[in-house]
Amino acid sequence: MSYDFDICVVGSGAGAGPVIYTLAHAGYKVLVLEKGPWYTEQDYFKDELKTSLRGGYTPDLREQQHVVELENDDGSWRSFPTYQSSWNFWNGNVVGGSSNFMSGFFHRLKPNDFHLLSSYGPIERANIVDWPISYNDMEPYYDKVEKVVGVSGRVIEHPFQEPRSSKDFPFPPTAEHPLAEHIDRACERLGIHSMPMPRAILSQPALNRKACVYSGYCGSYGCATGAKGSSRAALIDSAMATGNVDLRPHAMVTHIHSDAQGKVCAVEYIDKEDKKHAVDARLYVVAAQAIETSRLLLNSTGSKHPDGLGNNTGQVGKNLIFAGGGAGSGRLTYDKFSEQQVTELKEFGTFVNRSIQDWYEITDKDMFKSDAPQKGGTIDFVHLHPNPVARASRQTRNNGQILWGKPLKDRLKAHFTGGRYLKVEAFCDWLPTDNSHVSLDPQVKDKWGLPVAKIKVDVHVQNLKVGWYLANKSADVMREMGADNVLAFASGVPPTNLVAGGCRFGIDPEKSVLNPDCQVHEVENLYVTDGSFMPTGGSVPHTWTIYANAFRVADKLLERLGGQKKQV
Amino acid sequence: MKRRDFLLTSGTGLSSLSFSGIVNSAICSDIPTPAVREFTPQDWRIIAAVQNHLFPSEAQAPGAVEIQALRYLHNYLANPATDPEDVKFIHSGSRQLQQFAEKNHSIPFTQLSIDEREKLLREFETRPEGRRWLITILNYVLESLLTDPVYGGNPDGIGWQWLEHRAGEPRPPANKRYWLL
Repeated sequence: MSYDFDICVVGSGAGAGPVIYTLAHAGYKVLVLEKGPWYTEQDYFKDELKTSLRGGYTPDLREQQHVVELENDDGSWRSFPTYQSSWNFWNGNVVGGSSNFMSGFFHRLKPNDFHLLSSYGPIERANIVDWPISYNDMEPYYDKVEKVVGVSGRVIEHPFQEPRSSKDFPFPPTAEHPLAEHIDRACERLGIHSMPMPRAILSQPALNRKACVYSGYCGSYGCATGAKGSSRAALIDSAMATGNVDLRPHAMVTHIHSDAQGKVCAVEYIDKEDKKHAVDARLYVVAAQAIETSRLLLNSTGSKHPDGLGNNTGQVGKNLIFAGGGAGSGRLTYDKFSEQQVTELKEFGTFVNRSIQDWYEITDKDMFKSDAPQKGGTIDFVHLHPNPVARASRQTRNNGQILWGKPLKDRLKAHFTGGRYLKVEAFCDWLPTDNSHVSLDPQVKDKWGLPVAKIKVDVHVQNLKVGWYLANKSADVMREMGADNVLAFASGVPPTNLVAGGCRFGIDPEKSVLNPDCQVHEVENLYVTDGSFMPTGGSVPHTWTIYANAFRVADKLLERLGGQKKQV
Repeated sequence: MKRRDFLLTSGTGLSSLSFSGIVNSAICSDIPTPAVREFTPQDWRIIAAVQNHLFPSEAQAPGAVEIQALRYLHNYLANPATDPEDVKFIHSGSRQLQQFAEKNHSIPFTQLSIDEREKLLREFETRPEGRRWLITILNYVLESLLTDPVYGGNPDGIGWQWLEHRAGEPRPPANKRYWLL
């Protein structure tokens, strides 16, 4: 039987890039269907309107939105469409997906993250499980990401440093802002290990890409040099050069068709001109980011899949997770520092790049009412996001009144020119529960008439406890640095850009959607390679693990297709 | 009346609130959305007066006039990429404020003293709709202060200079403004 392609990949972000890259370089014909446009380095500017204020890289919510379901204080639930709210669950519908807009704070999961249940025991109301693979299975692929996507950093010894097959990172750390030294000195005095934060950013030209030019605008912004290791810059551009990839932007996949045996037989998509197309391939991969992957499977019913593709045990969309944690900030007020120090603090463009993982495991009886170690998390120190309109808008809040006139202008002047802000992002597990999931909304449809994803969000109290613990520790460091206005808190708000789960992998088809190879249990020619596979998320941003796992699955796909093709 | 004639006419007699910005944008911008044609000169006057109240000019610091906040807002509302609901909301808010002023003072908002404007706007702020409108107007003023000059506000980076803010490179060129990409 002949097929249009060897493999058809839905999506082009961090879960898709490694598959596209691996199979194209091995000589296989790859079709990529990406619903967004195809931007290159020449299209990315430091434009706050495009990037943040006008949703320039995400769909118009009037045409494509989500429905969110949240818990009220009294335990009842309310739901609303995102167009009528300030919520937005889209993260970058362009070639390369949201990896174009990541900050690239890259941390591996630790060995214990792969068996959270056996390491720390059950937690009431949380669906914690062990992964069906171990850290050792993933390690070669974390290593591969360092070399192929490009991760810069420097390994230091600390209590939770994970095992590594390469001694150090292949690229030295990116240039550091003088704030890093302030953090190091404060940590030294407190007896804490501050570590250089690994970044998916090239500190020197390599891999046919340019080095970072320190524009001062990185996270949320597309990279204009190619230094950021987006799926597009690091993997797809290289895959395109093989001549084996047919990448179709503006291709919205609407349905995955399955045959009488339950196997996928075609993928249907709509192009920019609203024309319908169908294509087939030997193998299929879905990597549309967690929420949309579950939605596509649920929408893709067939005779053998009446409740959605791969959903005969009702697991698709279940156990959606985000990144839990907290946040904080502090200000090094200029009049407390010497002229020389102020000049240094005003430096522009370089990165703070400091993390603390001393509390990746926490033993604290007062907080957790137990002597047993608890799973903790990671503290990242970063610059306050430079977006000036967003910063200015926050200054208009004044105890319930709007601040305006001269008082607003005075506050703006003080905020922008009186000191250097430091921000903290703390990461912990967002525990999966029965109340965190994706389903199809019965009423709201997108512009093509397809039901939109309804996202039910549940916050487990353990997320908040760990979030508070980490936030308080970060506040100690900021105070030790001499910072003013120190503020730190746990957050129960789901970070809409850090989402995973929904199609967890596992051994038992009754409790998971994918097998350990990320192949759908019930559909032998279909794989899911984005963050959907994660049963638990670790206490770090997910991206490095998504990349690594997609490289791991790509090797399984390659083996199945017949291995590396001989060059003719 | 042709759009350009309307805009030129609407500029007359407004010496303190220069409409030259709007006239300029009328010459160079695209055809406006139908919704923005509903705005009368009085609507623009009241919006300009509110902008100037929320973000006044000072000797050492730019205000709404210097950052071309009215021109910026007009460009945004006239842009076909703008959600018509946003345009309607700005319009209906300005009408509500006019009615509110005339009900409380029997004279138009633009003829009130600074203190009277402050009092009236604080009262307007206590209404949920009024509050939302004021936040929105102020937000577009701040956009005009701090977004790239290619969008019509922040001329020559006057807002960036005032707040010692450094813009990132590369900056957006006119042919790659957000709705053109």
